[in-house]
Amino acid sequence: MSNDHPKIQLINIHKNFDSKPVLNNITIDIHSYESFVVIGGSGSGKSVMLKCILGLIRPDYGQIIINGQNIFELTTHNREQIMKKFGVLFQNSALFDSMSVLENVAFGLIHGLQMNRKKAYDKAIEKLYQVGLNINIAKLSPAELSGGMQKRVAIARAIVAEPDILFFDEPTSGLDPIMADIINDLIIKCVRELKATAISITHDMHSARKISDRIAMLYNNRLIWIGKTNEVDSVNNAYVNQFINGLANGPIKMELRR
Amino acid sequence: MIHLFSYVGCVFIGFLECIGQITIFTIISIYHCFSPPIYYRLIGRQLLEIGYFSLPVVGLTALFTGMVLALQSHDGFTFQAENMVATVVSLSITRELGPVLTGLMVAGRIGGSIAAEISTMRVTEQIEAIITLYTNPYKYLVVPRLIAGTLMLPCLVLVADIIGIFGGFLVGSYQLNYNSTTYIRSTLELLKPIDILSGLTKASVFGFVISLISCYTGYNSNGGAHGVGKATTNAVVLISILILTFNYIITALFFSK
Ligand SMILES: Nc1ncnc2c1ncn2[C@@H]1O[C@H](COP(=O)(O)OP(=O)(O)O)[C@@H](O)[C@H]1O
Ligand SMILES: [Mg+2]
Repeated sequence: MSNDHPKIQLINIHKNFDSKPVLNNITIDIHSYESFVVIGGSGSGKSVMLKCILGLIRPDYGQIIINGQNIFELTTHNREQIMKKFGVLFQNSALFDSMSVLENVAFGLIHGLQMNRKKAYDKAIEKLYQVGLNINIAKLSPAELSGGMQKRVAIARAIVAEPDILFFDEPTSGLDPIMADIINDLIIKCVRELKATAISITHDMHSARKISDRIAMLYNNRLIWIGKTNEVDSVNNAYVNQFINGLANGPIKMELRR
Repeated sequence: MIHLFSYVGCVFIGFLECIGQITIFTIISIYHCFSPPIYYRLIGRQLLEIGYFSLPVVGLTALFTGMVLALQSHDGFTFQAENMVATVVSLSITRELGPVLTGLMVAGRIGGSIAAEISTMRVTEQIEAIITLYTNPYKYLVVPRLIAGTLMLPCLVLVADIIGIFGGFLVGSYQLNYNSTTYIRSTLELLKPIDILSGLTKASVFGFVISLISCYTGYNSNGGAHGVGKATTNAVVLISILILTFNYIITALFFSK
């Protein structure tokens, strides 16, 4: 795998839900080892874009190329091999509420990779420790944890199989600013330790600036800006300026009435 | 008038689409029943959940059904009541009421809970999480329930048959003052293997239908808490209708000649 090829390419991605466009002609290259952040208002299609890359939603047309392979043209087996390099944090953590924290973290190892239980639990405890959680919460159920701890468990679950592409869907939403910053640091640490490529979604600009090398902004189902993180403040784009400064007045009109 | 036709057409096409989707779901599920990995531990848990924990409900239903059958049919026969009541009770329990009532009770108990559980997992993205953790959700969620349903319903019906006939016997010998030896003898003489066998066949089909439909509606639900409620209701209604339909079809296959 040569390094000048992008790790992940989205080419002309279109997706409609019931003839309502959600993604309109999205083309993005994401390079190996970079931390890429997608920003945009709620409902702008960020999660749908992520799920397209994960292969959970099939775009109406367009190509998604990972490690030089078009994921929708692969055999099931080869696609599963690519999936094994993914680690995903879902928007609301999506922890399995019928299992303990430990079983949640070990899930992918036991059921996905057929690892023996003892070894999987040891590995899971190691990962819980890495995300700053104590062994004594391992037996609790996810519902007994605070939002911040749930995110950490979900991150531990995402990194347990040592993936090389990490996906974070709104990792800091619903957390207090201090916990949000702890999660930001944790994400940076995980990406660095795994030497991974990371794609994160957020509408928290503090988080976006802190964890990203490059930023893309979605608005109205389209990609309206893409560039380096340190350029984001000097962008000559009224939409981006309004979003990153969180202003009520500007070209972006919230759809309050239809 | 045109509107009416187009409405009926839409409903009909929706119906066909639904059948097609269920068929595809069934084929994928059955395929995964026979391809590794098989999660034996999960199958064990479902056997317990669907079989063992349904025993009290099924047992009570069967007991009272057997008792009421004896009581009701006693009125109908003035001549040789002992033999006739024993026959009516044992035949109706083993052929019809055992499997159908067990099926409907389990549909309410298990069908509803499977549909609710899987649709909650769908709306909270837990199914997507399973996929991204390298696990096939059909293998993990559907296969154990399908296998457990198909295997456990016949066991439950066998228990229901025994308890139901025993319920009839209790009423016969203690309330209606029949000779208990005669009652037992006529039960055993008139009951043929095919009566029990047809009942167990039905049970197996019902078990498959209960698990399949509840997994299907759960798996394909959407739209938050409302979607979960809808999936649960749809599952129980659809399963009940299918149980009664298949009951007729299997009866016709076994006994119409
Ligand atoms: N499975 C789905 N079926 C229909 N519409 C969907 C589905 N998933 C998302 N949408 C719609 O797509 C739009 C974008 O959703 P999403 O990507 O979740 O937004 P966000 O940018 O906040 O993550 C929303 O309007 C949502 O209603
Ligand atoms: Mg989202």
